[in-house]
Amino acid sequence: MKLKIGDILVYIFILILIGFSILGLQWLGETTEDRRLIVEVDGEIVKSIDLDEIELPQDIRIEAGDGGYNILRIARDGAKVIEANCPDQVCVRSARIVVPGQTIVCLPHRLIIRIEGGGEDGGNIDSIAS
Amino acid sequence: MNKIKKMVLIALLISQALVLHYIEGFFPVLLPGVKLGLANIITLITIVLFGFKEAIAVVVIRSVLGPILGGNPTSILYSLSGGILSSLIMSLLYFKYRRYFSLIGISTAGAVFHNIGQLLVASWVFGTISILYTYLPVLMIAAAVAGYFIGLASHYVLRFLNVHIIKPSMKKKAKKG
Repeated sequence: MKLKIGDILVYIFILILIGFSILGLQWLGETTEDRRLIVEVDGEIVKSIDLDEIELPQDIRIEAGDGGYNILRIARDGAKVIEANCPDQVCVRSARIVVPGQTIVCLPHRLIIRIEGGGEDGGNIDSIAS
Repeated sequence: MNKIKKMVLIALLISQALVLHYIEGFFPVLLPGVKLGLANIITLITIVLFGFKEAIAVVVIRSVLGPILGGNPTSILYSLSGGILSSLIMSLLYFKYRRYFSLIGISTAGAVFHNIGQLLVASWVFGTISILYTYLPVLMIAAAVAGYFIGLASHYVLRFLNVHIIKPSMKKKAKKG
């Protein structure tokens, strides 16, 4: 069976599509850089920090109301709660969060700390792979 | 061709498409989303033998029944979107630009748009366009390879039908008349 002119056009079309999607991938790779640290108290965002703009590790204090506080140590590559006056201390014992999608929760203070970014899907690989 | 004969033939085509869809499920999956698309042979044959409307009917029924039989009803949306878009494109190419395209080109274009349709629905479902970019290169290469062989297969099936079924039946009719 002989190929006709249109068939070759179809294959050229495929090559163009592949080229465009590779360009799109590279553009997407750039956007995965900006990771933001979001701190929520009682469902409201009280702090939103661009992790890439942090030069040196620093400690920030979050007031959670009713005299409650949590102290976060944030660095370019992640964040951790180092001190809190909540009764259960679960947030202090939580592991450092590094990747978009990870969270630290302090229930007594109604505090949620999470990293966002890494593409439009929040960088959650499993959301596609499933 | 009278109405009942046509209905029976289309029912046969649908069941063949379903069987091919089912058999395909036994093949190992190389990458998620990469499939041979054996049922596409039937879509192409229906377009050539009957026409656009019948092909859409076959594709819609196959896309709804296939996932139900396969035990994965959530994929109805994907197979429906891909199937309808690909049969639209294949009919367009076959009925308008047949001079420039062989069945190989038509089936490859069909495979390409099948994947594009599915990816568009997937990115709508997940609410992100990044799926389109990450999956497109792999799926396009797969579509090029699968489309080529599906086109070749449909070509040989149609040639067989022409030589052994359609021509003899036409001769019979000519003798009678």
